[in-house]
Amino acid sequence: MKKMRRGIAVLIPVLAFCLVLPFLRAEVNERVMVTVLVASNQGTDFNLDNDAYRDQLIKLFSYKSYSQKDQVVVRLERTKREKVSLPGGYELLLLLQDEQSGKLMVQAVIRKGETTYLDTIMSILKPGVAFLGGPPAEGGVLILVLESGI
Amino acid sequence: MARENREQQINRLYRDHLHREVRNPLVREEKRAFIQSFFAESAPVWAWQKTLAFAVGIVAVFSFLVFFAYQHPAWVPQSISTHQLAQPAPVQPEPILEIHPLVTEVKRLTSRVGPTMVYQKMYRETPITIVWVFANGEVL
Repeated sequence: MKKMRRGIAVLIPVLAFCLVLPFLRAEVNERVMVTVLVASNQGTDFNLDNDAYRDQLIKLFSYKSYSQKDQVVVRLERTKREKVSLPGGYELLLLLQDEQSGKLMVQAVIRKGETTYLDTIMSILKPGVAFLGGPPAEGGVLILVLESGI
Repeated sequence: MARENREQQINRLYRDHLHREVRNPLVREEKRAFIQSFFAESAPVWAWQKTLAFAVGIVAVFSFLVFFAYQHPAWVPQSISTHQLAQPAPVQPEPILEIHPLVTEVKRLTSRVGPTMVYQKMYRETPITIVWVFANGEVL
C-alpha cells in the first residue's frame, strides 16, 4: 500500500507536466521580417535599405524600379493573427500554423477592405525567404519579402 | 488398583498444567512473535514490478496523447475567405526564370481578384518561393 501511494505521488507531477506541456508549446513564437516594396516600370530607381535584395529582385522579377516602403519584424504566434499595414490601403495578415525543425508553416493574407487579393498557406524555410506580390499599388505592384530565421 | 488411580491422577494434573500453559496470554504472544520472526510471509516479488508497470503504462498513454496533440492541434485557424471562386486558367509568365520543383510546401493559394501562381527560384543555393496574384491582368 505504501509503495502504491509512493507511485501515485510520483505519477501526479508527471501527469501534470504532460497536461501542461501542450500549453507551453502554444507559447512558441517565431520572428519574421516583412519588407514592403513597390515595383514598377516607371523610372529606374532602386530605393532599398538592404542592397542584398537588389540582385535578388533583378533575377526574380522584370521591373525596372523598386522602392522600399516599410520594413517590420513580426512575432508570429499560433493563436494570434498579426496585421501589417501596406501601401494603397492593403493589409497583410500573418498567422503561424505550424513550426517544425527547419520550416515554418504560415498563413498569409493580403486584403483590401473586404476583398482578398491573396490567401495562402505556405512553408518558409528557416532561414529562408518568400515573396508575395501582385496587387497593384502606387502605379506599380506590391511585393512583400518575408524573411524567417532572423 | 490404587497404583492405576495414582497414574491417572498424575496424567490429569500434567494435562491440566499443559492446558494452562498453552492458554497463558504471555505464552501465546511469545509464540506468535517467534513464528512471525522466523516464518513471516515475505511480500510477493512481483508486487513492486506491478506498480512500476502501471506507472510506465500511464506515462506512455499520456506521452502518446501529448504527441497526438502536437501532430493535430485542437485549434485550427479558419480561412479569412469564406468561399473560393473558380480560378481562371493560369497566365504563363514571361520566360525569364529558371523554374525548379518546389521544395517548400504550399497548402492553399486562392485569390478573389485573378489567377495565382507559385514558383521557386534558386538564388545562391537558396530556394526562394514566390507567390503571385495576377490582379487586373498585371504581369511580372
